Amino acid sequence: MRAFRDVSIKRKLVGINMLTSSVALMLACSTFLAYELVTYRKTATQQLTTLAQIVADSCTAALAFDDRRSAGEMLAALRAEPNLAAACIYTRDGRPFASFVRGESRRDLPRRPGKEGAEFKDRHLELFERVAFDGEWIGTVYLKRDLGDMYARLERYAGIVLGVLLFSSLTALLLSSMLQRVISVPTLRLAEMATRVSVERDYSLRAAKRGNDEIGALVDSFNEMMGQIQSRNMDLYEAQSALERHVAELCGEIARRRRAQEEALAAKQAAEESSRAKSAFLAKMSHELRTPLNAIIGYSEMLREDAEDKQDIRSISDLERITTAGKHLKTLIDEVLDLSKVEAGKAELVWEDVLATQILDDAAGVMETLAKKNGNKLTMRCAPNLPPMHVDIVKFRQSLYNLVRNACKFTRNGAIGVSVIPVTVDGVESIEWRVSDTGIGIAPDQMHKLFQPFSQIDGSTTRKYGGTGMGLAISRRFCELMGGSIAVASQPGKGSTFVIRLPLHRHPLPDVKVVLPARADGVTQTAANQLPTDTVRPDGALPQPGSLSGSGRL
Amino acid sequence: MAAISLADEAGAGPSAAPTHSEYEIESAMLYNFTKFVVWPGSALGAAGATVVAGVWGDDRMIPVLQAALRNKTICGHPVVVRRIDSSADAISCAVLFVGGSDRKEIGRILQSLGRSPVLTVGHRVQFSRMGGVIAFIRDGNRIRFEINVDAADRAGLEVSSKLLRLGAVWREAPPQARN
Repeated sequence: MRAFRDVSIKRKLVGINMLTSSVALMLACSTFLAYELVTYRKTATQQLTTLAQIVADSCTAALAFDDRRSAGEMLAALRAEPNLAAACIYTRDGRPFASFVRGESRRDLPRRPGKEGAEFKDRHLELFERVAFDGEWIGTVYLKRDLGDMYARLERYAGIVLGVLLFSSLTALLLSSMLQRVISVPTLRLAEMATRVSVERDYSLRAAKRGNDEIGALVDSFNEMMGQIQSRNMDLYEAQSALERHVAELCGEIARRRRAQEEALAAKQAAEESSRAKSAFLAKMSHELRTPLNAIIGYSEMLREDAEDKQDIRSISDLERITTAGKHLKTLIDEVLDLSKVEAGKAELVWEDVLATQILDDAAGVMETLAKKNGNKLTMRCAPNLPPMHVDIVKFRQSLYNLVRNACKFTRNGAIGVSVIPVTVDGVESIEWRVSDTGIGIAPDQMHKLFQPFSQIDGSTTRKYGGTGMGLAISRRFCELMGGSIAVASQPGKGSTFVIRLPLHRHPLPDVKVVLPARADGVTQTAANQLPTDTVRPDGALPQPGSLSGSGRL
Repeated sequence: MAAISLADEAGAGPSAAPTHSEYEIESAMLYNFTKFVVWPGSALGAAGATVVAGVWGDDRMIPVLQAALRNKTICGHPVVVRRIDSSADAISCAVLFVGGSDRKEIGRILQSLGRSPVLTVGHRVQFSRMGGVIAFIRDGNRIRFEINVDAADRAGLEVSSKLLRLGAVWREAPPQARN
C-alpha cells in the first residue's frame, strides 16, 4: 500500500479504475458461474429423479414376477440417455436384480442399495429410488449420471468469462488511460507550477484555471496563496531593509558609546592613579617632614625651658613662637597624613562597640576646654536607652572633636550644643550626633566647598581663626568609612549645625563600598571581617546610660 | 416371456402333479396378477366389501392360497378364499383358480361364466386357449404365464401393459401384432 502512495496520480487513477472494473466483473462472473453450477446440479438431480421414478414404475411388474430378463431389457433401453453411466435394480432384500452399465465394469456398482436420495460424488451424480408397488416396498433403483457434460460446460463458461474479463479489462485500461487526463492533467500542471515556484522562487507566477471543479477551486486557492506570499514577501523585504538600516544605526551608536565608555574609564583610572600617587606622595612627604619637625619642636621647648631658667624674656617669646608654629605644622602634617591615608585607601578601622554616654563622658573634658577658650557655654544631651554604637572610637572621637573645635572656633561667647538622638532614615536605624553653635554661620554659596580639603572659607579665616582647613574633610572621610555621613545646616550670622549620622550596624556595611567603590581592598575587607564577632551583641547586656540622660554643664 | 423359477426344487421335472412349492409360487403369482388387473365399474361391490377368491377343482390349493392372501387386499377389498363347486358360485368370484385337468369340466365352467368380470387362472396353455384369462405354463423348472387378451376383454378386465410385457399374449380372433 505504501508503494501505491508513491505512484503518480495518472497511474493511480488508471489502477483504481482497473481494479474496480475487474473486481466488479469478477464478482458478476463468479456469481453467474455459481448460479449456473447450482442450477445445473438442481436440474440434473430433478431429471435423474424423474428418470428413476419412471424406471421404478416400469420395473414393478418385473420385480413382482421376478423377471430379470424383462428388467434387464428395460434397463438396456436407458442407453438412449447419453449421460447415464450406470443403472441397477435391487430386490427388496438388497440383492442386485438387473443392471446396466456404459463403458464401465459391473463390479463398480454398489453391492447393496444405499440411502434413498441423490448425492454428488466425484464427477457423478448417484441416486437411489425406492420401488413401491401398491403401497409395498419391493425394491430399489440405482442410477448414476455422468457429470462430464456439466463440467465441460462450466469449463466453457470459465473460458468465456476469462475472455470477457480480459477484453473488458483491456477496454477499461484504454478508456481510463484516456479519461484519467481529465483529472490528472490539471493536477499535474498545478504540481508543475508549484515545483517551478519553489525552484525559481518566482512568486509572481500564477496557475491557469481550466474548470470550476475542485481542481479549479484548488487553482484559485493556489493563486490566492501566491498573491499573499508575494505581498508578504514585499512587506518582509521592506521590513528587512528597515531593520538593516536600524541595526546599522544601532551598531554605530553602540560603537560610539563603547568608545565613550572606554575613554571615561581610562580618564577615571588616570584620575584615580594620579589621586593615589598624590596621596602616596603626601604621606611620604608628611612622614619625611615630621621627623625634622619633631626635632625642631623638641629642641625649641628645651631651649625655652633653658631661657625660662635664665629669665631671658625675649628668647622665651621667640622660642614659644617657634614651638607653636612647629606644633601647628605638625598638626597640619598629621592631618595631611590622615587624609592621604584615607585617600590612598590605607586607613584601617578598629571596630568596637561603645555607648554614646561613654564617648560623651570621655570627651567632655576636652570639649569643655575647647569651649572655654572663646567663652562659650557647652551643653550636652543624650537620648535614653540608646543601643551601643559600632565604630572606630579613635576616628569617631577625632571627627567629633573636629566639629566641636570648629564650632568653638567660629563662636564667641555663644552656646555650643552636643546632642545624641536615634533616628531611622529609609528603614536604617542610626544615631545622629548634632553639634550646633551660635557662631558666624556659613554662606550658602560656601557650603559645597566646606568638606573639601584645604578649603577654609577664605584665606583670612586661617589667619583669623587658625586651623589647617582639613578637619572637616578628614571627619567626613572617617564617617563615610564607618558607613555614616556628615551634613550641615547653617544660617549666616546665626550659627551652624553639623550632623554625624552613623547606622547602628545591625547588618553588613554596604555603604562602605558605595563610599569608596574604587578602593575595595584594605578598608572594606577590614570592616567586613570584623563584623561577625562584633555585631552580635544583645542590647540589654550592656549598661544603660543614666548619668548623662539629662542636660548638664560639665 | 416372464418366468419365475421353481426355486431350489431339485429334480422337479415336468411331472403332471403340481408340487407344494408350485402351489405357493402360483398363489403368489395369482396375487400379483390381481395388482395388474383392473375390474370394471362396480364389479367388486361397494368400497370395503369382501371379494371372493375361488378355488375350483383342486382342494390342495385352498390352504396355500389362503396363506398367500392372508391380510392382503384386491383393489382395496378384503379377500376370502372359498371352494367353488357350482357354476353359480363361480360367477360371484373376483378371482377363480381352476384346478384339475378335466377339459370338459373346465370348458363348462368357462362357458358358464360368460362375460362375468371374473379373473380366471388355470393350468396349461389349453386353459387360455379355451377362454381362460391367464394360464400358468411350465417351462423347464420355471413357471411362465400366458394371457388371453380377448378373454380378458370379454370379462371386462383391464390388464396392465406391464403384465402383458412379462407374459405371453394369446389372441383368439385373427392374429394381430403382438406387443
